[in-house]
Amino acid sequence: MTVKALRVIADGKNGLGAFVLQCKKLDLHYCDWAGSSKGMNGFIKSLLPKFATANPQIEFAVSPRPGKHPVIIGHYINGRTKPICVRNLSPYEILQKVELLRDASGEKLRRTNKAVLSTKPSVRGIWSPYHGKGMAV
Amino acid sequence: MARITRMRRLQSLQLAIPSQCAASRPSFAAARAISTTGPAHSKNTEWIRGKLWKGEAPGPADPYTQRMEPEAQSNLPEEALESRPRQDRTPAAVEESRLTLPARRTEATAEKEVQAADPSYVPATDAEGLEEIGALSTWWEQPGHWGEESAFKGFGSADKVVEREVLEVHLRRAVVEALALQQTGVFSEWATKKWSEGGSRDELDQALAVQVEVQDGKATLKGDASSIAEALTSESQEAESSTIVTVEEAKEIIKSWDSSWKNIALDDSLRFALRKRLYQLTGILIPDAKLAAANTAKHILTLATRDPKPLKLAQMLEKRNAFNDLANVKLHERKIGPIDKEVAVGRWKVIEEELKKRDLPVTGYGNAARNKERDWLTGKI
Repeated sequence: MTVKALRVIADGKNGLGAFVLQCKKLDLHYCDWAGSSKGMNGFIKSLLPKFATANPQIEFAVSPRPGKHPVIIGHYINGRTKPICVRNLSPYEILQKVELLRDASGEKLRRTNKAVLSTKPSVRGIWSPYHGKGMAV
Repeated sequence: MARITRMRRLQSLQLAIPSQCAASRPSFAAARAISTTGPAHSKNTEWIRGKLWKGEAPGPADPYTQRMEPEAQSNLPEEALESRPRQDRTPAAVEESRLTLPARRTEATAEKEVQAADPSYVPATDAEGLEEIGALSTWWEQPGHWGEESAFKGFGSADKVVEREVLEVHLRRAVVEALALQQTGVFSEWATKKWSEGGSRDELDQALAVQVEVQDGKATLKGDASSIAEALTSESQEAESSTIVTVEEAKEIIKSWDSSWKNIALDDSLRFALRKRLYQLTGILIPDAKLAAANTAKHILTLATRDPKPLKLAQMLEKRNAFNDLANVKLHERKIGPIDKEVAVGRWKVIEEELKKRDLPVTGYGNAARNKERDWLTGKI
């Protein structure tokens, strides 16, 4: 079998650019017996089908993990994972967590107190027209 | 100042409370034979003892003086009192066992003694022609020592019946059989004995063909009761299988009879017989505490039936076809283990091949012993 490149990576959004969701996979682990998984089991039964239909670009893997608290693990295209324990949460609270994982970038959470986020921050700062001597036009 | 008085108080407390070490080791005060209360002192207390006991007081005047214990007198003859070394220490259960147990350890006579007893004796120089005896560790694997006949076989059926319909059929059979024994007059004799297992379908049909008529809790059988009783009291044959009735068959059978037979009133002996027979036929044992409350056969059936196990989430979703039309959802019935993860990325066959090439166990630890340190930490050793 020859290796084929993917034809389409991202959809053109009506000329507004291509958007690729950062979350590529969600692992949903539950326990059949434990009470802390009650909400998770309800979520998988009632809310997951709809959510999965609405998000076809995410892969969902539902598997039991007996004797453990329920966990949702998000896998991101930058190679990072984000696990969230959803023990004793109700299905709708879990839905919020799943949405959070879907919308997350996969990057580490950090405080943004600078206007520009860059791997190579400028020494001089951002150019501003209101500072300096001005420019003769 | 306050501290000192408190300490004194504590000292007196210590004297009052017997110390803990006294339990294991006699304290000095207890061990000494001399009493602090002298004879003159005891004379002074004599009058109060007399007043207390209203007459002659029992026991010694000074209870703290240690007395010699009187030696135990025995009426046994001297021969019996002499300790004899026990000849045979084998437990009775081992002696009565029908299993072939390994022989006791014997010691061969030394070479010098053999020379003296039998001058023609020549010691063997190689193993050729010598009898081969396996090691003690392989004793039960050797033929004739442990077979199917030695394995434990319980009274109750090994395969438990869970379906209510099948259980009802077996209960009806048990009721008919118990009543048949009662009618033939051998019930009291056979109530505590083991009834014939009756694992064949013919015996079941025979028991179910009999009509049970209940009036005011009293039941009478209409049919061939004597042959059923005879089959029960005859030598039991090995049951082939316990699944002699399927659920569909049981449903059909139940429809054919009236439910009034379940109102049969149970006395203690009948209740016991039904419970025993039901355990033998279906493997379901009703607890003693619950059995006492059962007054009719219906109650017995209620106690014996258990709710079916709830479906696992994965099975339920499979049944509902919840994710069948969704290509992006994968439903796993079992936990995803490390091997499953390797299989998913197609690396497992490579790992397996490499492990086999190196003669390493593919799963588990092979001959290597388990982690002993874990047992130490958890206190198992």
